Amino acid sequence: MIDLALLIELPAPLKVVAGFLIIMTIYSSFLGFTYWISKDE
Amino acid sequence: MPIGNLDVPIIGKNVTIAVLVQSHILFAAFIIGAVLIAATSEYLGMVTKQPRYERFARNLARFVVLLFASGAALAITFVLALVTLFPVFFSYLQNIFFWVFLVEAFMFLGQIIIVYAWYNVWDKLAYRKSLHVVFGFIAGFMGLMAMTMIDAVASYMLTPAEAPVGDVARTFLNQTNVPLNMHRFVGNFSYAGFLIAGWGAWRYLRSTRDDDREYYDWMGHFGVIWGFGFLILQPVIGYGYLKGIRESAPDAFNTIMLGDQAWLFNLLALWLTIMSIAATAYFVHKLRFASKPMPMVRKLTVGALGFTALFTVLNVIPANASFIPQIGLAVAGGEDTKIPLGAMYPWKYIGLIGMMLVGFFVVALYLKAAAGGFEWGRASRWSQFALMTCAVTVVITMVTMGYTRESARRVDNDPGYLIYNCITLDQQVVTKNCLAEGLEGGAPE
Repeated sequence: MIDLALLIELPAPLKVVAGFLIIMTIYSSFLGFTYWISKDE
Repeated sequence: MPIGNLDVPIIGKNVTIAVLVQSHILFAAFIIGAVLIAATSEYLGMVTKQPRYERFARNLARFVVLLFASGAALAITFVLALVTLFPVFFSYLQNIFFWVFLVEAFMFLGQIIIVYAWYNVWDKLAYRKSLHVVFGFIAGFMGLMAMTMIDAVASYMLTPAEAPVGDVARTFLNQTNVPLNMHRFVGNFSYAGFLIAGWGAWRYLRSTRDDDREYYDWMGHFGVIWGFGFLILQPVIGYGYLKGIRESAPDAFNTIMLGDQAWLFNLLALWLTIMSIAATAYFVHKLRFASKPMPMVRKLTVGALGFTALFTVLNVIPANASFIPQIGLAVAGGEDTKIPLGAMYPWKYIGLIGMMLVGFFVVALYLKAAAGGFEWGRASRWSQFALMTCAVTVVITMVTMGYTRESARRVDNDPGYLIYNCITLDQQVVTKNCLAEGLEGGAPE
């Protein structure tokens, strides 16, 4: 199964775009979560 | 038992590591910068008796304490991914940098303990404020030391020292460790400062109470002083760093500055342009609200805004019409068509030096006005959008810079390297052009 999954690979420029989008998703969601737990009200 | 060569579907293992490290750095750099800015603010509150410094320091310290888990979790996940996906490379790295990793681990531990203690004893040490401020600075110092240790590893990967791999001092003090460390030291303040400014601006626009509007207006101003004040130091430090790369890894330098990846530096210059113009425009606006009217200072700052635009735009112009070779983005003859004012020498040097000098001038004028105070809570909406633009742009700048440095080792990708000229991307040790001695077959006598 994992061998089949490894056949799916994005072209290099799209990998960079995908990487950037994942970074921004992780970053904004962790920051948002931290803000939410830090709110007083 | 043989070591498996694992990969990750869709994005591949290189991008997996990049994602984890970049996400971690976005938190780690903020935490280091924010702890030092908060400790400084607490100190300023103690000296000036202005309550807003104390309120800001305490809130920021609480946010850092809560954010610490995210940064630390990403760091551990990254190490786990590195051990799993690049076991041979990690083994070499661990052997070369055993002491560096050990010191880093203890600095990280110390930073956690002191940051938590700093926040938790805020009330307990209310009457021993000097001691409490010292807690904050020690936490920041430990964060800086942890960063220094990992910078030794990161810089070694691009510019391995021409020395035996067992020589701890020379591998640690490889050719670009000091400039990289200076670059990141200054960058932490600038990055955290712009994020604080952007956050202050966001809260200002959402505040309805007068005291909140005054506080968040002040927070945007305080953040942008850190952000822009440290940003204008970067061109000279960045030049020192690139000079180190040019001397030790000339092919990598040519790739990122003059070759196929030069567009990344144009992109970086574009982000610098946006931040410089937005921050200077904010200063121009803010000077309208100086407690003591300063029409001459404001006029000078308006002039400086024009020069900032001129110098920063000079950095953005590409050298030739082949904009992004990797995706075939080229016009009018591509590489053979030279664009006027696009050459590195002299135009980009003029642009960078000019931007820095004008930046110092603007900050000096603004600080002169700030010494007399401002009328808080009257800033316009667009000035706050300028701060938020800076905050978004600084995040993209960090990601662009990280990608530029880490992909510099690929040169023509034939092969790409994990340690430049020594260990390839598929974890093979090559000795032909490798400057590090004894990488294969253990450390020499």
